[in-house]
Amino acid sequence: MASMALRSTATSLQCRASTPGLQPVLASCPLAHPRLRAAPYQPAEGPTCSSRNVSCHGFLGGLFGGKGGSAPAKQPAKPSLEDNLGPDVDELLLLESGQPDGSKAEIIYRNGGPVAAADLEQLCTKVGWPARPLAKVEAALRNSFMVSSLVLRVSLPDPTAPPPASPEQAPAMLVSEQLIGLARATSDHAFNATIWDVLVDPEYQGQGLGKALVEQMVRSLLRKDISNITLFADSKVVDFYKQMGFEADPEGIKGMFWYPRF
Amino acid sequence: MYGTRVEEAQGGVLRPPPISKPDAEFEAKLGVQFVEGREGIVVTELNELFEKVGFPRRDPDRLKIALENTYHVIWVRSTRQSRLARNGQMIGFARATSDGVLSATVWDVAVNPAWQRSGLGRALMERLTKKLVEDGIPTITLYAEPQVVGLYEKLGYVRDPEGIRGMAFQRRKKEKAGAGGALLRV
Repeated sequence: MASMALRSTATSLQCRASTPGLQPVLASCPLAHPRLRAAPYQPAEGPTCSSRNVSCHGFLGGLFGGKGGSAPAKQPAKPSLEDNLGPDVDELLLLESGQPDGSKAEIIYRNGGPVAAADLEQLCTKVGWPARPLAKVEAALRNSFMVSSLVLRVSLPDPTAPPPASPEQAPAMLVSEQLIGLARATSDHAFNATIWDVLVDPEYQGQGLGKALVEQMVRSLLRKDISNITLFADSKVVDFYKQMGFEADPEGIKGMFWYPRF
Repeated sequence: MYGTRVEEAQGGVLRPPPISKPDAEFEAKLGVQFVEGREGIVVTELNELFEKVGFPRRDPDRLKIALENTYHVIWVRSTRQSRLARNGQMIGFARATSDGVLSATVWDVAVNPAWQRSGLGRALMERLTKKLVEDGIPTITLYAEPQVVGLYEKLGYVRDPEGIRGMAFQRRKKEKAGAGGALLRV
């Protein structure tokens, strides 16, 4: 993984109307194409990214079509997430796409970073969920044991910065981040967790990001010794969760809701 | 899983369940009272109750952490000395985790077998559910063993509404005793 020295990065800018100068650039940015290439798998050598506590490990090959990766030739029964809890990191690079001028787009799994309620609600609207009061969403995020997000980070050369003094110096970059996925879990911090609100921006669906999000969240919970990880799945996504190691109605135990009114 | 309820969108409140038997009746007929909150709970006593109902015993330190991070606890305490209980003994328990605003899950509903079939389980659940509803939490859930699904349906809980299924991540490794491993039943 080439470590891209990000010089004089601006503070993280939100991709919103409040930064009009940046938005038109992003809209036409070829890196914003949803079909980002998977980062080439790197054997575990330790973090090389300069960000705080970020692991630049590539993915287990199985997440992106089963090719590549360093899965051993002899494998026992389907490996469980708990066989490979992964390093204890707050951020994981999932996908990246780069250009010769230094521009790049990255999709990052982030555990515990701040998530703005407004950004989450915007995403919820995008996937077609009814709006919820912002104050409640804010409180729900604050009171969740774990909030995991998928973030699209776009780095572009800063058009206002002077050109680099020497060819070796990387250009100054403007970095912006956009929330494109989320999952959160409530928990008693000891035994049980329930995962809620799993969603991925429709523009970025179909690339295994939802699976990556949930799997990394499960790993994070397991690393914290939360042994009972539960959720309630729409009938259409039961198989999606089964593939990851969740079981519906284990031992005949039924999920129940009090007086739901859909 | 997502909130598709009108109540959630409008920030409104569901109707709480009625309390079918008031506190006074339990005090008079059984000599028990309902206590809200974790103050006064002795973790070893809670573990004894869990053991009596067939739940795994938990590591006491982790159980303490769990209680501290539980949104609401209701338990049943004996108010007199009898052959079935010491004065002040815990004979029933239920708790719920929550984010405080959108969703809650009930865990560990337990009634001492010597005191079962006297309406204490139902009473605990009515009071716990009522509290969650009155706090404005629109999504209240639980995981029920097959033999108690009917009991919860009588209380107003619905299983698999619109085909939504409760799921749990399957652990392969054998759990240590007291780690609180397999899906915890209600």
